[in-house]
Amino acid sequence: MADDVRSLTAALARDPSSLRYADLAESLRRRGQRDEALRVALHGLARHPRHADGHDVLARIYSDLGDLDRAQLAWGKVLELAPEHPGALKGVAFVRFRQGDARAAVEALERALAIDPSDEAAQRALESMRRDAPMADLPTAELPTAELPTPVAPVPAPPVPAAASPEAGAGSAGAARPSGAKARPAVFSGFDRATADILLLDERGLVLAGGLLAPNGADVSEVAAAGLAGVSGEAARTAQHLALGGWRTIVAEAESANLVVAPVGSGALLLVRRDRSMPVGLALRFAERARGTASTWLEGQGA
Amino acid sequence: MTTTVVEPWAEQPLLRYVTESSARLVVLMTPAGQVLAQHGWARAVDLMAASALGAAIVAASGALAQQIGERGFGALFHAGERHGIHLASCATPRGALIVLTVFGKETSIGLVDLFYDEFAAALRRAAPAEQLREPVLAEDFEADLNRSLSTLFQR
Amino acid sequence: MSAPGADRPGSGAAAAPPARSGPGSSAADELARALDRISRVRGMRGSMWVSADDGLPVAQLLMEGVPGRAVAALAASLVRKVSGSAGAVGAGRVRFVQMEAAGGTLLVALAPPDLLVVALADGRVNVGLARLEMMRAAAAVAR
Repeated sequence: MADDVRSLTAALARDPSSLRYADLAESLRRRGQRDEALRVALHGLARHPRHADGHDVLARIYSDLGDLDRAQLAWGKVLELAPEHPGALKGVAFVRFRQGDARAAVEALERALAIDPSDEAAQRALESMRRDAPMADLPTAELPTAELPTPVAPVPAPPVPAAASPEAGAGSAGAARPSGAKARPAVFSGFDRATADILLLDERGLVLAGGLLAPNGADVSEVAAAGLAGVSGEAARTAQHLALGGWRTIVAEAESANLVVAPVGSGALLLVRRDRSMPVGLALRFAERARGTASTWLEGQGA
Repeated sequence: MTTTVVEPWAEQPLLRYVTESSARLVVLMTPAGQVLAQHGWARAVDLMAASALGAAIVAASGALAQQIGERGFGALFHAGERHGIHLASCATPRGALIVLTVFGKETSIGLVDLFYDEFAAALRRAAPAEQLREPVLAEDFEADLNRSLSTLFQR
Repeated sequence: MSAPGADRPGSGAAAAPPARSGPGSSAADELARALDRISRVRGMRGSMWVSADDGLPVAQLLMEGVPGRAVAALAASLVRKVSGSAGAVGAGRVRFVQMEAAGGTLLVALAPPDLLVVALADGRVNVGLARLEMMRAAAAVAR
């Protein structure tokens, strides 16, 4: 075992809550030990969910593993925590480049260079892209905002589901799934708008079940999940600092919907969105039922 | 972004402060401007300049406080368009130390100030009483500060 | 009404209507009256006006031992996160946030563009009544 890995491992053994897990994960990643790096990074982030550098390392590991979707989500989380994180901006540029979106890649690199004009890696990458991509494809306007979930325009009421189609996943009872919803475990079949207004996610902001649809029918589950993980962490911190004990629910009354967020089991999170016409108390009861269902399902998954 | 320290006892309090406050840049220094620990600084020249300026501001505000009959001021806070700074000194068994924090819109002065108090208390608890060894100059952090991502673009 | 930051040890404000300090102004009186009404709801441990962007107390009425600075900063941060998520899921602008925990409840009414009404309560609180008073207070100062 290399000296750096050995010393970092020893440091973590002495203090498991140390943030050096990120350095260890990065060292393992550089040595090609990606599975070990992933385990270390995930374990560390479970303790420190708001550690931007940890999410950055996680993103690089996912990138090495070829999972660009997860890499992009992780870098998105970094930018949520630290909007000017140079590593995340360059990482987003890399993912966009790999996805064939040269314009977005250039924009992200330009933003990284605006933060640190001396960043040679970003400069070389930008020059390379400009040299290789058709000029018409590349932006010339000002820098865009960070790669964060953009607000979705509110509507008075959720859309009526499209023509019924069989629910995917085991145990499906053939409940209708709105046309934009992706196939996921049918945990909430039987609940009203099970795949449009009920979302179960894990502590990393990754979707486990259910779904959330935008007013235009687009599946915004992953975008919502990435943002909600931050809410969970903030709620836990608030409850701890104010000596309120464990937090149970957050209810947000908004212009066009009421949201209920609740922890499920150890680390998972449930979001229920209900139309404003449903009284808050009833929305809470609905969410409590959904939480029970989610909890039972997670236990069955061994989670 | 990395966190580097001269004195190991400062690491855990600094890491916790950075995590809780969501600060972008932090410098822990002596009143003379010598850096003991830092988080988030990309270039040594910027770190040296900021620490020198921060120490000078604290010294100047301390002199002003004396002029008006105050023992000293608490934290100093400046709000900019995209960033804010929080500058404060705290007493430790090692002597007075200064903390300069730069933060963005993802956090607030309320949070930074709240967790600064916890940071100062943690420094007081953690700091040993024996003499500081000579703090290294900011240039020594240069080699540790950058994480090169050029390998990503080579794939 | 105690000044912001006056919740440091030994300086907590009582729940009974406090003596007003500083120059009397109608805006300050209005804020104080709102906190007074909110504090009379059963189960209330404290209420405050908070600057939404800064997370700093603007005015407060707290029982002894309630950490006003922490309540202000953390409540503002929580609302910012919740508002971001609400926007991302198409729910629109947030008006009221309620966090229930094992040992109490945190309530926040948004008074745009830049104020929050924050209340900390124990488990006995009449949430419905507290919400009404807070929303009324927020509506009165919103512009």
